Amino acid sequence: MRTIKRFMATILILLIIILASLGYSAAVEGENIEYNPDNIKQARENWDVKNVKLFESESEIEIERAYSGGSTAIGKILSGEVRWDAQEKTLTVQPKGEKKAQFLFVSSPERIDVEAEKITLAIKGENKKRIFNVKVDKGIISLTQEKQTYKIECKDECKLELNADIGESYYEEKLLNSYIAKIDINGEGEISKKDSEENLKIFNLKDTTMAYADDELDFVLDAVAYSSDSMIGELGLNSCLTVCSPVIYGQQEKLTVIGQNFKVYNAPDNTLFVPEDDISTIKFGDKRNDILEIRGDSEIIYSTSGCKGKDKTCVSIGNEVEIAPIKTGQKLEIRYFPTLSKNLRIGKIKNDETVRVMQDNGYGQMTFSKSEVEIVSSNIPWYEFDTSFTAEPYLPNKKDYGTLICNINTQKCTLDGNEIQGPTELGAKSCKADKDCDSGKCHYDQKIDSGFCVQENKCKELEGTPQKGPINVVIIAPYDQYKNEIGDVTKIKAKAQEGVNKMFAIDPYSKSKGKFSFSFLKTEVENMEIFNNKDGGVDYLLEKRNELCPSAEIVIGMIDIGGRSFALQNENVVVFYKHSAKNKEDWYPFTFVHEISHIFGLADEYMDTEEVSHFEYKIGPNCIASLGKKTVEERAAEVWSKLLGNKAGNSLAQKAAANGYYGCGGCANECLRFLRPSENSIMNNQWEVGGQDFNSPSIEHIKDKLKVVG
Amino acid sequence: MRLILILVLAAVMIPFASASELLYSIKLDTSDNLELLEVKLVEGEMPYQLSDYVENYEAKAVSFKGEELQVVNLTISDFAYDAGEPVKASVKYLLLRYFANGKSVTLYNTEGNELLEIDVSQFSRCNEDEVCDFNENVKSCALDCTEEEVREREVEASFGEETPAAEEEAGTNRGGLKAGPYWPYILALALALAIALAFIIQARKK
Repeated sequence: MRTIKRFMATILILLIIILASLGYSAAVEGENIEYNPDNIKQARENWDVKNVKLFESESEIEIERAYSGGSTAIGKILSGEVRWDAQEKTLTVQPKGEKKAQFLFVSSPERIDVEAEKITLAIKGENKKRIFNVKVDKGIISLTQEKQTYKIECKDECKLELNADIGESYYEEKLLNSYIAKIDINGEGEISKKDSEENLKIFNLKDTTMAYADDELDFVLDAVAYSSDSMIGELGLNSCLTVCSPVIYGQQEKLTVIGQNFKVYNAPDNTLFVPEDDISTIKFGDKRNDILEIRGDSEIIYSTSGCKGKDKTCVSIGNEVEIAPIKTGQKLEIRYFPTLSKNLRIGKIKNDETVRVMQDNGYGQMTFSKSEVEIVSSNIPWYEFDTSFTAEPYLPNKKDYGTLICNINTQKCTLDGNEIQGPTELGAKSCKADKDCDSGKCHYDQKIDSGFCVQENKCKELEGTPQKGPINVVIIAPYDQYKNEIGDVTKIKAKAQEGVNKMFAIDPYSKSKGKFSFSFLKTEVENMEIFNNKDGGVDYLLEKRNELCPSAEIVIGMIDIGGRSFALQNENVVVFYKHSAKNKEDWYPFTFVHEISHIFGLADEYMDTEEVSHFEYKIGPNCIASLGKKTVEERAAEVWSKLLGNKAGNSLAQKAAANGYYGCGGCANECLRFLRPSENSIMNNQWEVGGQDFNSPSIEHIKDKLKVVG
Repeated sequence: MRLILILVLAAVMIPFASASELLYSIKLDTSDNLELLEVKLVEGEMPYQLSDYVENYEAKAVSFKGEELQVVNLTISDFAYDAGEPVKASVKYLLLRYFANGKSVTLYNTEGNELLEIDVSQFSRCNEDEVCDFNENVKSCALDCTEEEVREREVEASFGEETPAAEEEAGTNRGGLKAGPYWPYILALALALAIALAFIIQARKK
């Protein structure tokens, strides 16, 4: 009973802690509205603020940005109540009246744009309102609200006033040549000819600031960042509709659609829908990436000219629709439906622009950038996109743009007339189960509720060897498909097992079986000659590991030709040749143990011949060099004492020096300076007496290294 | 009693015990300057650093917001034991943990100079732009997605031309146990509850 009570009490305490945390965070959230540079950065990205400077004094902010009028201005907020905490990197705006404004945008000394909904939230928590035409003399100190007017008062020297036009009757009129566009606060408006009662167009542009039409009845709708619900009536023949999404708007670029008799409706998610019998569905992202959805059997053209000859980049669909949205650093996503677009033409792309074409299911993407065409779609080839495409990538070698043509019918691509392979694949296909993946393996990550097609891990356990440990060792047996018989591979496998078993018969590995797992793979190789070149052999083994068993810590190649076995510690690779001058039998198992021990940092305890004396040597815990003012003997005593304890370490150093165990590290004359712990060991001459065990510093060192895996 | 507690713990941990991670596998050309050859996702565990050689490069994964996600040290060297000559692999494979919001992996030398920036954003499931993009969801990208947005997107997607096959697939994947690796959690939870119940009954008997 007491246990139950304890159990219940624990649950209760946990609940209290959770509730307290929630309550605390809610309280904090309600009390403070804080800025930090990331918020400013986010604002910059949303609004295309050109430059934001945060001075590290308490009171100055300088914000420069491009705004709707197309001009750029600098404004300043100067106030002791604007606090910039350089240490915490937070910026707090504290208007008069103890309330904090969340967003303050300054566009010029004469004008300030305040994101009204945030201010009203900060001040009163009232419904969202809009503010237009705010005038500011010099700066801003505090915000107060009086009826429908917001006043911003400077603390010392200036007076500011925010005139909030919150009402039903507000109209903004824009006269353009012979046309007038009107829009009210709800975004509803009309366009008519000057001096005419006849409304040519009726539209709804909720939350937009202006609309106008030019001589050719081109409509320009400058939708501000908060645009959420805009609608335009039918456009006439050859009329052109330009809609500026927030980002494009900031960049002074227009998104232009020319079409016949179609309706465009900017829905709450900033999506423009077009009837199915017409050209396209256009979807604007409301942040950095704008998405254009295209329905209709149209040709898509992306070019650097067009749009009535204006010097800007644009995408056009067939002869009828032009999209001119992107500028340096921006991204346009084109989402299309496979039954529709048949030819995609991408013109020259400058700088870091990208155009992304997505499959309707969201899985497949083609991304065009200055010099690259990428298929970001997992395992499908480019022609699965059901479209031919032409692009003009910049070719660095040529220092000019080339012409890339990929034809859906022939499924071939040419670059400047020469046939090339299709675009390389990038990214990873999304999946929910193995059956979704050509690779046969779907890695589903529960934490992020997403799956990715990954290559199948083809590590196969080496029977009769440890399998449960965290250190994965993959033994690769390359065989010449034309020469080797399967029997040879079987023999190699047996030799691998022998090597592993020998390893685990020797201290310290004998006590660490549980820390290893061994796998074995036979891999085809066109010609075993590649292993006569050490570099090439290592490349092969690394490639095979990556392809078949990518997260294996150690790779051991058992090479069915003669050679001098070696180990690359920084790559954790052992190349284990069948024969060498010293090998007395095929794949001598003690050499296997010798080489794998290099991976853990043991040095060679032998000296080599003059021929290789120029080569770099490497010392280790079992091969000691002098260090600074310390003699080699003193240094040996120091290193070995750390491994074995003071008494044993000092004693071993004295014994090694007395017995003249000088010479190790694998080089020639210069290695005579170094001191090793024993006359012979497995790291020295494993073919002679005493060469089939480790000396005590080596044992302790490996034990230490194996501690990292628990 | 202790045995029961251990069993409960073990049951809860079953789904996590054998889980391998998703990793970026980055293939670099080291023959001249460092150049990127390939980036892909693989399944496995982050390898252990087995030796204490001196690392001369650092690879740092960062998020879209510039946050440091993981730092891995690496060595590129031509030293080989027993080879009698320098041996240099012309490629270097680098493994880093996968992050849904991973944007890039940058390589630095020991002086801290940037050598190469590798874009891994094509694998991301969270670009931290506060827009719930098509491959983001609430779990992979709480910053960009709300439950409501994801629902809206699904409704929007349903307006598309969904084939019967796709519908069938969607049904099987979203509904039943085939959907994903949920069932081990459900089983573990059921087991844990059963053992906890037994534990309470036993305590009452005492």
